[in-house]
Amino acid sequence: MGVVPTIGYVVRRFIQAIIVVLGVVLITQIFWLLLGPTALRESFPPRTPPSTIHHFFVLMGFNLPFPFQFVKEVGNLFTGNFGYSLSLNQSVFSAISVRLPRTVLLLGTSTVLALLIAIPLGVLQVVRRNKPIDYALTGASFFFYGMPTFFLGVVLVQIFAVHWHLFSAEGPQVTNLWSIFTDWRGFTLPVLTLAAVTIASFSRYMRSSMMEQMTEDYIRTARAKGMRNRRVLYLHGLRNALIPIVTLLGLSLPGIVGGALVTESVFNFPGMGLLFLHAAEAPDYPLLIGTSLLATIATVVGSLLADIAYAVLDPRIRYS
Amino acid sequence: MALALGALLLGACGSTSSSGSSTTTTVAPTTAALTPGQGGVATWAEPPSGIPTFIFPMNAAYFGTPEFQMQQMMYRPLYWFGTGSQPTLNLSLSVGENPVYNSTDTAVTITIPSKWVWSNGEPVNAGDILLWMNMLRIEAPPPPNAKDNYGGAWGDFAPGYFPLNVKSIVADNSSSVTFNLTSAVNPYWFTYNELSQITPLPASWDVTSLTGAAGSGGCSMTLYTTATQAQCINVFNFLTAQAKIQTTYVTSPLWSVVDGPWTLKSFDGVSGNIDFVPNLKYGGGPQPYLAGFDMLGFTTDTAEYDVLKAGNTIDVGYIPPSDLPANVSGSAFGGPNAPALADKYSFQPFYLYGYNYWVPNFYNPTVGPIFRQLYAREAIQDLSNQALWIKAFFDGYAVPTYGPVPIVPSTWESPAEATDPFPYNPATAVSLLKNNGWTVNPGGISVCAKAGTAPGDCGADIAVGQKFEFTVDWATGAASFQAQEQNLAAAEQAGAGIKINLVGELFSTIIGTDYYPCEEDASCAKFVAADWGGGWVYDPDFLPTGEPLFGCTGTNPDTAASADSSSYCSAENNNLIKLSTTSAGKQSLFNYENYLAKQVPVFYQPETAQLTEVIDHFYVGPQNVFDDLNPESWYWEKGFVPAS
Repeated sequence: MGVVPTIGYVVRRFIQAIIVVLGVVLITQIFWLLLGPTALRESFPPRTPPSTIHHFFVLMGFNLPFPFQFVKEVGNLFTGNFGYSLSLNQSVFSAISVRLPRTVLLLGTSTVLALLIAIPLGVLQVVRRNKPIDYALTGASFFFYGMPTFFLGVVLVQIFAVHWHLFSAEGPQVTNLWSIFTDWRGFTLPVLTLAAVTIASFSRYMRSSMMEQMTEDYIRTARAKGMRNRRVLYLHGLRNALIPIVTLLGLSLPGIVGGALVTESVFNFPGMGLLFLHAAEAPDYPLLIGTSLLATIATVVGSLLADIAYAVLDPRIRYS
Repeated sequence: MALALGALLLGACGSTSSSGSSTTTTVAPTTAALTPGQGGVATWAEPPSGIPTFIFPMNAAYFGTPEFQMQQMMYRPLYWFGTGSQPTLNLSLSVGENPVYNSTDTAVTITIPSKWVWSNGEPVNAGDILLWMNMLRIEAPPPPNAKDNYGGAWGDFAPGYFPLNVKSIVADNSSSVTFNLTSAVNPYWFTYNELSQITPLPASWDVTSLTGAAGSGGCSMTLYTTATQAQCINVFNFLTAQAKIQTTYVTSPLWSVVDGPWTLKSFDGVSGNIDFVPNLKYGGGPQPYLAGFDMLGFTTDTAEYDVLKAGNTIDVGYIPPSDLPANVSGSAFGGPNAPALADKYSFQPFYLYGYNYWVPNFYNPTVGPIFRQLYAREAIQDLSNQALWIKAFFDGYAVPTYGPVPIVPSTWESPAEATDPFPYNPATAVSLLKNNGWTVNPGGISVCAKAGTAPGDCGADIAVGQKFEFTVDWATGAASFQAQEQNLAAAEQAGAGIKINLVGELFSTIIGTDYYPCEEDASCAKFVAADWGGGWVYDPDFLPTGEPLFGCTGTNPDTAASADSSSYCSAENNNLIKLSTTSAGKQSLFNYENYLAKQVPVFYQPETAQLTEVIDHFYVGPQNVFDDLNPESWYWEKGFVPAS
């Protein structure tokens, strides 16, 4: 056991992750090459002259034999060339690279905020278990967890933007990340909308995980040895209770990269979620494939990171 | 409050036309001017998915209203259309003087007044027109094996027309150019539909590198020849490639040379926020009142409406149809504003110069034979109760469509089109079907009982037992009332046993997969009939003569014009279109218009209003009926100019 087995485990998981990503690349590219000509036709306005479409067919390599197309497309992907979005008049890479940081900032901020609030709330509920504060927080968690994001967003806009004019009805429209972060009038409501639901979810997990830890033998032993309750709670209980949260964070990565479609839509915040929606509605297939691949990679990387973190935090875990 | 200030006066002096029980005002009301103040920035809400993506005013792949709106602010078209709320040539906003035709209407001379200059100090001149024409010829070069309807990549191409009907172009001097044509034309038509497409391009764009000297591309002095075509292709490719780099739109030495009243201050292709400031070298007219004009991008109607209600970001926006209050006035041009907006905005609806329709496929193997019968099309149109639709679903904010020429404004409306040729009348529809060999089953499905082509028979290729039943794909996801509208339309058709099966589809699916022309879909079966929820706006074919809509060669549907989605093709109609493009005066246009109104090549349905909201103390005047923007004439009321 120890460091060497952990490294072996990480390497195995890494290779698995690469195989999954390659599999998804293979499937999407086969779909694209099979559907490409029809898909490209759909990207044009009605009755665009066939000669115009043919021009783009040649431009995108559909006139080449299938194996050559496949090798070319996969080669393009590995050189960062995800194709060209006709609907946005820019490369897919460019479209993603502008929106991804915005989304990561929005989702990242709301996730960090949610963690900062949810963890103490979960602990508080365990400390005050079955007391009014526990019931109140449980009720509030269910309330926000069950509330659709779009409804919460619209309510916040109506109250804080339309009625009280405290915040802007739309998210920041600037491109500079620091300017987005410091535009508190625009940034607050979308972050709060996302954070409210995440807090509700994380605090439930935290409460449950903490409760489980507090019934473990090692906690009882620590108490029997006369350790102070606060030390037992934070040094032993909390540390181990955080392990499921690490998994949750890893699994949140696809969402952080993929965007929050509903919240971005309500707050007019052009990020990855809206880019994906646009790609699907247009339909813009190169863009759709680019955003899908990114979501795939984020999912694989998120699971990989969660597994590795789990293995590091809990030495008992070794998948062979 | 805008109404108290007189910003919106409902017109009481317009002419009217009647449709069944409804009466429609056909002239837009005037908006009373305010005392102009200087300065201040105004913001304008783009519609969802209305973010411009291309700056070079020439490329089929990026040919749309958002692009026009952005480009025309900076690069003025040779001729500007829209005078007040009329769809007419506006010389005061045009680069060219009134075009002068020779006595035989086979040549036209255009002169550019010396007041027009580019922002780099160079005059707008004849070479700038030649550069655009050369770019057009690169964009739409008919290859040797091209089909009759080859359109190249230029989106406004119609077979046999621009630029194929231009024999030569000669620069008479630095400010004047003469187009020699292959045959005589209707001057009105040639100005409105062909010269209207031209946007002079500066000589500084006649380059193949960013450091190239103006004119070094060799494409702006004369029309290219076979020997010099390659260099113009290089220029075209260079400009297209540069236009794909959105991040350089503001700083590029190419795009910063403008002759319009505005120049770019910032461009954000992600959010759609595009800011303009006045071009201080603008010579075409007075400097803008405003110190800046900002386009704001929105992802959805709801997001725009939320921001509108907050009242501190949008100066000129729109209200989603589902949020309209009851139109107690009954006027197509006005009514009370939504309570959430009434204390900040005035409601100023207007109509684009276009018409609305849903489309049958004349060559669908199953239903095409029925659609090809005039009596069947008449019956379907007889069963369309436009007056009820307008009242029930558009709350009065719509006008009926009687043919391919809009009746609001009535500028080019023929006297015959002032009344509905097919007022709602189920009895007429029933008798039309009965008289043509059908067994009519109101509420059920009518069936052909008498096959054949003789009078009283169902018509060619319609067999005994064929049902009058077909599918209509309609665009979901727009206004909430569309589903009800479609259901009512289907119920109306059922009155004569015409069974419509409704299939809701995404707009993109309908325009992408349903409108397969028969030449691309050998079976011609994918597309039966569709209503994509829009219609046609006459821009830049500003005179509604219809060559890009219903023109074809002879009676061959495979040669149908680029926008002829039903593949309607008629030799008589071709002749009428030809006459309308070659004969001076309105009568030839009226003849085409009357013919197509009665031919029903598509099924006419109401044209809906653009639901504009204008913030108090701000003046936009009559809105352009072609959806073009000229905010240089917009202003804040004196005393209410916000700090920039």
